[in-house]
Amino acid sequence: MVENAAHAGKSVGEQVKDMILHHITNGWEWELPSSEWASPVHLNPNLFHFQLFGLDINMSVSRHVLMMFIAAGLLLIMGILVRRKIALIPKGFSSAVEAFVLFIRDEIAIPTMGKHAAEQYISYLCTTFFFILVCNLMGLIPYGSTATGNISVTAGLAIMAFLVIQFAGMRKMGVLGYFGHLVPHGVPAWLAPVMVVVELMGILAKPFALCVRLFANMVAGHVVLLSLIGLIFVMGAAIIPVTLGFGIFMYVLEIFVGFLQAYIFTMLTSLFIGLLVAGEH
Amino acid sequence: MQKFASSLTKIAPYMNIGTMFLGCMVVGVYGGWWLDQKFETEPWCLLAGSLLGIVSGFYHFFKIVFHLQKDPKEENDPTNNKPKD
Repeated sequence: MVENAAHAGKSVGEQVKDMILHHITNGWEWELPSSEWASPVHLNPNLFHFQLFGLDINMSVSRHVLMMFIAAGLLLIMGILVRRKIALIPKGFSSAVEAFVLFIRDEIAIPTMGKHAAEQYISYLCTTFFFILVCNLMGLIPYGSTATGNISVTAGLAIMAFLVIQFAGMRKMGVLGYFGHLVPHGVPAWLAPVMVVVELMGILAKPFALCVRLFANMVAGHVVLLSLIGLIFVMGAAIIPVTLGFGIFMYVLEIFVGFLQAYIFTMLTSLFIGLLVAGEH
Repeated sequence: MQKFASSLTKIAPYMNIGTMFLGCMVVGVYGGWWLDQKFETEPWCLLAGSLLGIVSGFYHFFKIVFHLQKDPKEENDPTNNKPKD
């Protein structure tokens, strides 16, 4: 453990706890290798800090926001690279990206919402998938941090998914038809108000489930991984072979979980759109 | 790989059922609690919200399950409409 003022007078266990919390939560510094070992880059917490309608709004760039910018930048570069080398039979990096895009179209979008609707929403689904994937994997590279392990980030993604789902439903059925859809066919009149509330709760529960699932999966994996590392400091050097083995296993599992959660988020958004768009026929 | 991918597509909706169930209850309970704070009607909105949350959890559970059971074949089969490019 690094000896500094913040750790003075704390037991090893407490220091490990601090270390874990520091790595999974958001913050105003970004650890980068520099002349001084592991001295962080300080981000300005008052960059875009303002009051609006009596609300205290801080839109400054924190560590997770920075990670999202980097993820977006990487995706932009990826898009430009792939677009420049467009070909009938793509090679190298382009073919890898094409495999993912084809997977999203043929295995996610078309089976859940039919061919016609899939054409309309595939761009949104691809964007979500790649963004979540890159954000998930960013936490696994050194000096990176998992932006999707922050509930505000996943809530933002879920709100976007929520808006797209509602928009898809309204575009298909019309605004009035969409709200009429809240009462299923053949429900007795006395039950209709209850059904409206129940359906509305379902509409709110869908993005909530998306948000919590992604957040919890990303945080849980990192906590396990960091706890295994922390175990070395608590239990001594003899435990290193065990924690190293488990640590590598968890790391590989985290790579898989990163892909899986990006896939699940996309798949479920697609499924919810499909329930509204292709459900009535 | 293809087989793995299509089996993932089949299990994904089932993976949502549990969280959806939880989500409905959380929305119901928290919504009821919020209404109680707003109108000072403790504990009635909380109770009603919890009940509605449980009902809606079960309702959406069965809705997803029934939707999944009736679905296959039809025009939604990905093997039938592979785009020709």
